[in-house]
Order: sequence, then C-alpha cells, then structure tokens
Amino acid sequence: MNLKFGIPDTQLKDRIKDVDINCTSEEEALGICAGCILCGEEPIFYTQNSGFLRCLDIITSLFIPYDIPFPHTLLSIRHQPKHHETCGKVTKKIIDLLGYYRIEIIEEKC
Amino acid sequence: MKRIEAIEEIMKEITDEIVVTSCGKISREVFATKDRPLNFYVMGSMGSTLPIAIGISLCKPSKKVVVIVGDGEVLMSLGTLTLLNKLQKEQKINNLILYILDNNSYSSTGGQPTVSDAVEFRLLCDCKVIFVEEGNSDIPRISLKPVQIKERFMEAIREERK
Repeated sequence: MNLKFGIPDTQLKDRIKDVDINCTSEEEALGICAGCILCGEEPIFYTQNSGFLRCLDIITSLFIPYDIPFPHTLLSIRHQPKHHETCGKVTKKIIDLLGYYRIEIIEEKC
Repeated sequence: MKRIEAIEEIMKEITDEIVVTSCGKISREVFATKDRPLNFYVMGSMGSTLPIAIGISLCKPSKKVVVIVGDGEVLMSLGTLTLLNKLQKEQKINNLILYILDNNSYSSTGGQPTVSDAVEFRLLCDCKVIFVEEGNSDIPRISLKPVQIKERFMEAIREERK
C-alpha cells in the first residue's frame, strides 16, 4: 500500500493527481508518512522545496533521532519568480547536510 | 484535576490500543503511569503527534489509536484538527480517539500562557477536551532512547499481524 500525501505544486501537478490526502501543511504530510512507516508501510511524500524547509524540525527531531527511514519523496525545486530564489539556492545544500540522497528532484531552470 | 490524574484515568482503560503521546511532560507522565511497547512517545517535533497518529490510524484501521496531547502541542498544528475532522466525516478514520489535556499553558517550559482559551477545539473535530491544572508532577525522564521507542513499537505492530 503506497499511500500518497502532500501539498500541490505547479511543477508536480501532473504527478500528484492520485494523491490520497491533500494535507494542510508539508510537515503534517510528513508526520502522517512517519506514522505509516512505523506500521511498516511505504508512503510517498509530495512537496515543493519551500514546504520541504518547513519540515526541518520533524526531520531533525523525529526522523533522524528515531532513525525512521525517510519516505519516497518527490520534491519540486523552484527558482522563479524572485520570492523562490533564496529557497531554490539553499534546498540542495540542506538535503546534502541531512544526508537524504534518495529524494527525486524536479528542478525548475534558473 | 492534575494532568497526571487525567492520564491515569485514560491509561487505566488501555488494553491493546496504540497510544501516541506528545512531547514534553505528557509523554513522561504516560511513561511513568503505564509504559508499554504500543506507546509511541513523540519526544520532540512539537505539533507532529496528531499527524503521526493519523498515519498510524490509516494503516491500522482495525486498531484503536489513542492520542494524548497538550493544548500547546495541538495549537501548533491546528490545521491538522480540520484534516482529522474531514477524515472523520468521510469515515476514513473511525479508530482515532483524541484527548486534549488543556491547561492553557506551556507547562513543560514553566507555565507560560497559551491562547487555548480563545478556541473551542471540540468545534473543529471529534475530540475529548479535559481541562487540567497548570503544573507538572515530579517524574523522571523517559529512560528509553528514541530508537528503542521506535524499535519496540514497530516490533509490537509486527506481532499484531501474526
């Protein structure tokens, strides 16, 4: 059972038509994924990069200390317009810091 | 009523349910009252207790999932109460029992006030609100490491399948 949770994103819209639950925030979606993983399931997490950064607390305070495998993730990285620029620059660096290399990234051209 | 007395009342009825508890002193008081492998203590990531419990409820529809959180915790993810309400109304979740222990304060950090007196949680979703006194009981820290909490919880879930 691959339940899918997340928040819509323009770049992901064709990939997330079959989302099971439209959540109210990305960290909520990731928390639901954690609950599924604790039950031995393999959920899928959809997020834009700005929403991924909202998840830094649950990643560093739950997933890493409890050693919970990170869910299969489809991550959209945006660079434009201007308000996406900074988040676009730092997202991959943060993923490297966390050691999460298995995230599937769809990146907008700079 | 003291918070730990409310926790004792809830835990007294627990037999084979899954129990998920929020960060701070609530998890410590549940641990001191009735520790068991099917308790999952969320020791950090404030605001994520209810989402984790929703994920468990969706994957284990035949098990009752009891969630014990404070008002500070649930205020941090108030949107999740609306998601829970939708899932309850659509009959996608029938097995989650949410207890909010409301003392209108962040007790674990010294009793600073919250804004819970400005919200009626029961209007947002099906939940049980218990008003408790501000303050903490004198109880030790949880002696388990986070990884141990997870490992024994997952083992207990696997045993359920057999």
